[in-house]
Amino acid sequence: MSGASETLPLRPSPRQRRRSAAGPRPLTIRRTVDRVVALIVFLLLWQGVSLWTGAGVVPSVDMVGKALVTALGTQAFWAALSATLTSTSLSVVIVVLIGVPLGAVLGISAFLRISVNLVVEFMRTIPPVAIIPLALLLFGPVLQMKLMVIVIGAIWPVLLHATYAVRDIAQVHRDLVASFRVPRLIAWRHVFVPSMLPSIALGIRISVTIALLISIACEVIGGAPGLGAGLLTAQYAGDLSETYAYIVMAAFLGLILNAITNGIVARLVGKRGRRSA
Amino acid sequence: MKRSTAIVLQLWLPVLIVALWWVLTIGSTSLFFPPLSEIVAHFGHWWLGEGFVRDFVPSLRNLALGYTLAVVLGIGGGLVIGSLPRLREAIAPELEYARAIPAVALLPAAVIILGLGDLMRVSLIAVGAVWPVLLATIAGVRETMARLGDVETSFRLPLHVRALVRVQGALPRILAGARTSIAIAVVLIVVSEMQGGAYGIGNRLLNSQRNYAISEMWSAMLLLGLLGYTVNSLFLLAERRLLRSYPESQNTRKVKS
Repeated sequence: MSGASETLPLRPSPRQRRRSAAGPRPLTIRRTVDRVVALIVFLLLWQGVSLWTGAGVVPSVDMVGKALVTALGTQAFWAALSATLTSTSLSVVIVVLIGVPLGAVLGISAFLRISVNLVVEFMRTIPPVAIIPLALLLFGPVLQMKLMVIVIGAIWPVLLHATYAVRDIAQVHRDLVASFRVPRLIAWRHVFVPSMLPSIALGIRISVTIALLISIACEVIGGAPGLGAGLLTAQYAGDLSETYAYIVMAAFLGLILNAITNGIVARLVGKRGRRSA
Repeated sequence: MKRSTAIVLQLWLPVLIVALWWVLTIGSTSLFFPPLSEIVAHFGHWWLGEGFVRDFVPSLRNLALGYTLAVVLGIGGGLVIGSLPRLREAIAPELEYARAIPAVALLPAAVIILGLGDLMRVSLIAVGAVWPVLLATIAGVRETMARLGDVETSFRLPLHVRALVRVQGALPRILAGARTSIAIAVVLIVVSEMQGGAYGIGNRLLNSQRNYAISEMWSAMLLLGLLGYTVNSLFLLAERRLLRSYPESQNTRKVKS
């Protein structure tokens, strides 16, 4: 993914070189002020839009804020949040448990890889929401229905990244392991798996985003319990502020899940992974 | 490997799956898994007949409009934001937040603001699918400027030429973002048609399920699969052409997402 910096063999400008030498730039006072100003401008814009369209279309910042605080105090909200979190994280675990071994097999066997190519290419381009009606018929609006749709929709990034990771284990590593006659188990544990992790981690990160999206789609369309169902209830009740509060929370959940995934990935992969993933 | 061997290798499994599906569902009385022959018959009857104009064309039109809007806004906005480092730094948290919104969650708000018409669907797709393109463009423009900023300055390139240089330099990233966006856009068109509205593929799909018209439901799923596959294939084709003159290392296609 870092390939973009290799387009032209130009030397980096002095400014860039200095920057990369100093590592990521610290949060200076000017930048902090800039960010605060940006946040204030954003909230003012929102308030302006709300005034312009009327609170019946876009509720004002304080109304949504109040609704958010109220929602945080209700049990329904926390139940919805935990339902969404459960289906998302559980399906990611299933995706990893199925996708990584399957990808590894496909990565090893060229025959299987070529054979399933068309099937995988077709399956992964099907919009996952298309499966919601079938899953609803089979299970009704419950957790299993969500898991079915999410796993079918979110498994492909993990599967493909695992496949490529195994296929692309560098020849240098194979040669090294062969010439030193490293026992198989040790070779996998200390050479091959570490070299595959960054790619698989990237696949998992993509899957987490997709899983949350589909989980909420299942809730909005299929009425399965979760933030999406809360959103729908708020919309039907005509409670605009609450609708917006749920959207704000859904985005927060996305951010938090991203942060958790990144944390786990960073711990698993270490610095090496962050560079190449 | 000989070409014919490669084709056989690629095709044997899909053919086998379809054949098994066909044979195993012959005379099937299962509510959920009707005979494939019935699904295909319904597909030909509805989607190649009346439903083509009634459901398929509106869906495709809204999808095309919303997606085009998302890409144009994403590249334009990304070019401006990416070219202004101070602005980019200032609004980085807001952008991260906006990207984290699961686009489907915007549907209820979109329905409240814009009602149940085509305008809502097009806007929802535009707003939901703009982020991957926008963020990819920002990142691409930023990298291009780091590489070519000094060149731009020393040649005193006029503004519109700089814009062109930056977009071209960012193109591989923009296309990768646009490919993520198209997947989101297809999801959003289906979801938006499932709430309200009287036509569209998603509408047909959900209604047939609610009426227990299972062959109809399967044929709509089949259509969506074909649609997703076709759109993706066309995209890869366009990407290959557009990136032909770029070095191999930028070939982002290797890592599929």
